[in-house]
Order: sequence, then C-alpha cells, then structure tokens
Amino acid sequence: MTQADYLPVAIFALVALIFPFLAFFATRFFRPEKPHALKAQTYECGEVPRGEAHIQFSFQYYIFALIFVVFDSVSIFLLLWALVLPGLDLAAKVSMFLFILVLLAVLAHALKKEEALAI
Amino acid sequence: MDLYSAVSGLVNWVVGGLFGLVEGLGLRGPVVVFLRDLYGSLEHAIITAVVAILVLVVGLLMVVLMLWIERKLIGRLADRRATMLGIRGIGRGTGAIQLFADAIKLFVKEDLAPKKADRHVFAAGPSILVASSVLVLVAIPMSEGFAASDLDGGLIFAMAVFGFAPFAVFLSGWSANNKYTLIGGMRSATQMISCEIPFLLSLVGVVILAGSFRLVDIVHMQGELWFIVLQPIAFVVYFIAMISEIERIPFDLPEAEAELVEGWQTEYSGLKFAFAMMSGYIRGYVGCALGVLLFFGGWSSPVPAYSVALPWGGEFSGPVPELWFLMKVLLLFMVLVWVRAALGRVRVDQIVNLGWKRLLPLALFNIALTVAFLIFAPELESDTLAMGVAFSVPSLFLVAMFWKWGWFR
Repeated sequence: MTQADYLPVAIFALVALIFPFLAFFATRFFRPEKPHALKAQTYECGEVPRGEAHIQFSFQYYIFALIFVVFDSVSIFLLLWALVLPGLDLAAKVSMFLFILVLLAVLAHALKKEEALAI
Repeated sequence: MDLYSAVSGLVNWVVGGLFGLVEGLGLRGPVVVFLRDLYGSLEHAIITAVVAILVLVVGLLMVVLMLWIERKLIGRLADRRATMLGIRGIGRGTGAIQLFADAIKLFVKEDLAPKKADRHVFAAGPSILVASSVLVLVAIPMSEGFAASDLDGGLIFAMAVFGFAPFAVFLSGWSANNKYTLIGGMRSATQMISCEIPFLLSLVGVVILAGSFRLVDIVHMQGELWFIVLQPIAFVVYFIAMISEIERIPFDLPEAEAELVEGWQTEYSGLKFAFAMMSGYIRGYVGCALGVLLFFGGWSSPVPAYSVALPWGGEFSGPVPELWFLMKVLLLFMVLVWVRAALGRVRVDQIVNLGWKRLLPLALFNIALTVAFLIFAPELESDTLAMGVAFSVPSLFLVAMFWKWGWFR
C-alpha cells in the first residue's frame, strides 16, 4: 500500500465535494427568488407552528448507543482478526470467541434494562 | 482494456493536439513552455480527475436507470402501469423522459429555508450526504479494468464512507428546527446504531474465506463457487442490514411519510430535495454493488465459458464483464423493489430489537460456524462443491430450526 494508491481517493473526494456545490450554484441562474413571510415559516401541516424544535430530545435508546460504541470497535477488531485468521494458531482462533462470549454476557445484562421494549 | 490507460490515451491525444495547434499558429514563448511543464507535472492528477468524473457520471446514469426500474416495477407489482410520459419517437408509453422532466422541475424550483432554521447547517446537510454517497463509488470496481482505484483496504474504506450518511441526515434533521425533521433525524441515528454492527459483522465470514479486503481479490476467490453458497447466513444478515442502512421500506423510518410528513426531508425543496432523493439511490446502487461483489461473484460470468463464431468473422464469448456486473446489481435492486412492494414499515423498537437480538447473534453464529469449519475440515478446501454443501446445509438447517422455535417472531 502506497500513497499513490490513495491519490484517486483524494481527487474523487474533491470531485464529490465540488459536485453538489457546483450544481447548487448553477440553479441560482434558473430558480425564482420570491421571498414571502409564509414561505419562511416552519412547516407544521398548515397550523401556525408552536414552540421550538431545538430542545433536549429524550433519546429513548441511549443504552444501545452506549453498547454500539463498544461493538463498533469490536467489529473492526474482528475484521482484522478475520484477515489474518489462517495464519493464527488454534488458541488465537478460539480465544476470540471467549472474548465475544464475555461481550455477549455483558450485552444481555445491559439489555435487561430495555426489556419493556421486547417485541 | 484498463480505464486509466484508455483515459490517459484520450487526454494525451487532446492535449497534444491543442499544443500542436498553438505551436502551429506560431505561438512560442515562455508561457507555452510553462504550460507544457505544468501539464507534464500534473498529467497523472488530471487523468485521475477525468476518471473520477467518468465514474461519477456512470454512477448518476445508474441512478436514473434504477429510478426508472423502480417506478415501472412497483407500478406493475401494484397492478398499474406507472409513469408513461414520453415524446413521440422517444419511448412513448415507457416513461423514458419522466425522470428528466422531474430533474428539470426540481432544478428550477425556488429554494426555501425556514426562518428559524440553522441556515448554514441546513444548506450543508444534503451536500455532505451527496458527497459522502458519491465518494463510495471510488472504491467499487466494475471489473478488473473499470475501477477508479485499487485499494488494499477497499472493503473497509467503502464501509467507512458508507456509514457516514446518518450523520448528515441527523444534521439536516436537527438544523431545520421542525419537529418532524427532528424526529426523522433521531430515528436515523437509532437505525444506524441498531444495524451498523450486523452489517459489519456479516462481512467477517467473507473476509475469512477471501483472506483480503481488496474487492478484486474477493471477486477472484469466487471463481469456482460464489460466496452466497458458502455464506448464506451472512448474505441474509447483509441484505437486511443493507436495506436498513440505505433507509428503504421496510426500514425507511427516518422519512416515514405516514407519520412524519416526509421525515427529515420535510423542509427541503428544489435541488436540496433532489440531492436527498439522489443520494438514496446512489446508496442503493452501492449497497447492491457491494452485495454482488461479496456474494454473487462480482463481474464473473454466471454461465460456463463458451464461444460462438460470428458470421462476419471473429468470436463471441459472452458480454463484457461490466455488463454482467450491472445486470447482477440491477437484479439485486429489483429484489429490493419487490421487498418494498410486499412489506410494510416496522416500528422503531422493532428495528432496534431486530438489529441487536436477531441479526447480531446470527452474524456471530455465522462467524463461529465459518471458523469451526476451517478448524475441523481444512481438507475440504480443495473440493469446492463439497465445501459448499458442508457450509450451506447445516447453516440453512439451523436457521430453519430457529424459525421453527419462533426466534424470528
């Protein structure tokens, strides 16, 4: 793996960033601009909007978000382990499963809190 | 034929012609010499940029084709004909120009933003979404030659950029300062935390068998037997998690139009709405393309090698690999359309429970099964058919038992 391999990625990232801005800039010459107080109102099914939406939203599934952070890094760890798996000895192959079993026990314990949500 | 060599031939021909013209006109000076030097040093970057634009255009054409297929097929599945707009001579009754009409309409619409919205983030949201969706295209090879890049970690790169979209959706939903968009953005985050893990874990079995993150290597490893036979459970997990990642029915909670008007896109109009729509289809294309590369043999031909002598000389030995690839992608996409026509939308708690209590154990089970086979039956590796039977029969049997025990209910 060299830096030259990633040159297309860098250039493609530039193209991908420029593309929406350029397209949006191009519409400037075609779209009408007729501002109106009613157009600038927040849409609430035709009612006069009440209150703010920038609130402290109660995120019901925060416990899943916490476990997600752990499992997201574990999944990358697992992918790298899978890449080198044929070269590993039996102990290294099996100990990963012990690790996952511990994680699953923790997961089951954490999800007890969410049991009210069971299907 | 390599994409890069073809483009570099074309670019060098055009630029050489231009310099030849300039010098033929008698314009010789420090400026021309400087331009020539500049081109010499930037040649590689310019060629790469042309390739990038070419791949982008192919992706956008695929979006147009997939939108058309979706409309016509969903129409047929709902026992109607769907769009039939066409000009006399250009596909009348096929709806061939409906999409171009839609695009032009969205292009000339007024751009509205609510007064209370966080203006800059509101404008940036769809742009980030489109940029991140388009960037994945760089890692998707359509054949050995037609690829914008050949990364060692192509699979990881594609997954990393693919998982970026919920962030942009969340930003848009929050910034619009509308209750519907806020709930839509929050639902997108919920969906991401419930299905991203099974999505990544379903790849582990494939990586074990292929021994590489390079997508070209993964396709080469499927020369004799597609991974769908060896990894049926992984494909089921991948497919369900992929529908959730690209936010289509039955997992289109962030834009549930029955409850949330248009979800996180409610306040977007004109081109920003078009961006939101388009990125959904680009992500659909990328998800199907990755599914084909990982499980359906990529661009390899599904029929045994053959060749027919043509009456005007030469031989015909099947369509080009890119065509096979696109056909497989579109077939997989048609399954998505079928799913959309058949199923209703699930609830938020259902998708969270599905991700964490069904798909995650299933993906881990598949990894365990794959490793167990590698440990206990390494001699099977030489016989691909026996390996396929040894892998798929027990896994399908176990999934059937889970089904019988009511684990999926």
